[in-house]
Amino acid sequence: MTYIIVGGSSGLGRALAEKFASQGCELVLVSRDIRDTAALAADIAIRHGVKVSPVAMDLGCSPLTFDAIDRVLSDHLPLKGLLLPAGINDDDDEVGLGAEKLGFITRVNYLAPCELLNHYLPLLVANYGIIVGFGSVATARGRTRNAAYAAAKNALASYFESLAHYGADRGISCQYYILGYLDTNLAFSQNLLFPRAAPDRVANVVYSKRLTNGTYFLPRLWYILYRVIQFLPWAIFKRLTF
Amino acid sequence: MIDGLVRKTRFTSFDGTLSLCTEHQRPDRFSHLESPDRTAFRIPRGGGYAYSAASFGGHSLVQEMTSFNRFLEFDPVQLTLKLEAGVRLIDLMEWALPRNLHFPVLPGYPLITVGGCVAADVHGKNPHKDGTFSDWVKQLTLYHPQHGYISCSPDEHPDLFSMTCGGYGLTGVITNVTLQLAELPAPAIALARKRVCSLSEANDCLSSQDSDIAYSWHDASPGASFGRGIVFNGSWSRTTQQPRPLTFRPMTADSRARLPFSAWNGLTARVANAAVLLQNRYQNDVSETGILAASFPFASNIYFHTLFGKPGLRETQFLVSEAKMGDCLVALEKLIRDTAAPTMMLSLKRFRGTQKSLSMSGTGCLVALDCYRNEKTDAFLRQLDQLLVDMGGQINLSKDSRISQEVAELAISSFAGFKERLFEYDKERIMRSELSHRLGLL
Repeated sequence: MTYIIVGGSSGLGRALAEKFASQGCELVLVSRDIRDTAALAADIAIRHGVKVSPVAMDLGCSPLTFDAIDRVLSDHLPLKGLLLPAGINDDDDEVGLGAEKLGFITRVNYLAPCELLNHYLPLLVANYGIIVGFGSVATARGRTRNAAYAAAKNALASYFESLAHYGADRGISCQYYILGYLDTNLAFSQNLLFPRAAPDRVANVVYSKRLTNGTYFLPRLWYILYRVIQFLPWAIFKRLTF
Repeated sequence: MIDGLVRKTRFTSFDGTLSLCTEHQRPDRFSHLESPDRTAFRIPRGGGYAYSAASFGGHSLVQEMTSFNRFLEFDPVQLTLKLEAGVRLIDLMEWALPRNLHFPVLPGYPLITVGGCVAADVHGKNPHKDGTFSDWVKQLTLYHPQHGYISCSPDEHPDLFSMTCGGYGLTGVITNVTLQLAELPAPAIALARKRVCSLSEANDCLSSQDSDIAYSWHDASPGASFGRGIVFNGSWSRTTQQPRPLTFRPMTADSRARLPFSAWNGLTARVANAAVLLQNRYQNDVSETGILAASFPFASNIYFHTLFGKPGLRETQFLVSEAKMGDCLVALEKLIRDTAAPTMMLSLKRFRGTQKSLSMSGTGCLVALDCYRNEKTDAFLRQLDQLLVDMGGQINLSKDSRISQEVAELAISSFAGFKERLFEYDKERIMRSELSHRLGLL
């Protein structure tokens, strides 16, 4: 069976690609820069001996065109899953962000994943497919920082809930992961208050839970922290600067 | 977004003698590799196992290439493998061995990256037979902020290829390398040990053999047992038994220096060396060992390095022609004894290769010497520098973090030529490290 991994050239996307390939799954890897995706596709094909097709797609573009993915998909086994470890945040993302950046962050984190889901939903329904989305602990509560990012990821979480509802009697498995700190390029060489999860361990969990439905926190410690932040009295929360 | 991917990090040379804080980037995609200011100083970094500060420097952005670690192309007919510069030697070997392939030139630690091996033109356990790392490089791709991507090989941009092999990252960031692999003759090595009483006996012993692995280890503490040691000769074993996989806990420059003091001194060095010799007396003269364990002896034996603690160690390596080796060993022993030098262990290897760029290569015999640090260490090493210059020896810049420009000019025959070509190629000297600063390559 074939899985499409969007944002599959580095970080968690790369770990997911390696995990699913190690289990014999064919892959279509999608990322903005074909050089990165092609290199990973070659690596996976050499190491795991599975068929991998790289495709370039910029989630920031509107409207998205699916021709390139559809073309390579026709050479693969039936589509079984769509994994969306894609997203972007910006150091300038605060309340009052300009329209261009606001639109870009919303597009990459919410609109583009929804467009991809909608496009491949018929195929996934036909194959009792798997849909996996990724959010962030930044969505626990709106703050000055990451305002647009958190709003977009909250919208995506809501859309995944709708998907789960839609797919409940159609045989679709739908998982949404709320991620804490990951040991990726975004967090390297930083002193963080809480431990980071290794992307390959997250990928193992995602693979093992692929046939389930639900929302999961990784690392699981973040479930507690998330709830604590949500229930902090406003008088305390408004003073926090994180 | 891009700015967020650059952090301030403190880097320490593996010998623990140099440490500084500078900007650090760990690109995991091409756009990140290319993104920072193209006029800013930078230097690539692999695993960070060079004893000298070749992969970091003040005011230089360190581009750590460990995420560029993908296998790109394998030709099963030619046995060539194209891979990215951040692939570690252990990953290369763990992929190659099940396919009955191996790579013959492996330095002593498994987490060193392929790009680092090219940049320092490292050697393995028998450079007399296998040459140096660059002898097995068919092609490489280099990224320079002002020249873009350049493919080079012995046939394509040969001058740049020659400058890059042993060029310590000063010609640009190596993004990928095509290596020539070899068929694996057997899954294990039969490692023979022969006890010797002196350096000259070991030198004679190494000169008369041409096995797959050949090197010696000696007690270098200035006492009665100076020079006693073991000559290791390894050849492919006919055994059908699969060796145990290599298990080890990764060691970094920081973890090596965790002990706040050095446990090595004159007394402990003599005791430890005596224990090694005694243990060897009760071992079989020949033992079967896996290729990984034989190639990476420091993976599972970390105590030698970690016991140098935070003060660190000094290592020096130099290559002397075979004609002068006898005199060199006599003079070296006299110098160590006369100065009661803080030397601990010494190793000999025969060498064959072609010297190019800043690499240590040529035909002769390699001497590697480890010292613990005290008030005598640097004075002794300065005298040793004079000795090797007198002997016409070459130095290994990756193993010695204190070599001066004056010594480098005398002890690296191609230094002046390399400098001239480098200045022509990179007029603004974008690629900079502490090493290039120390050697006046600015």
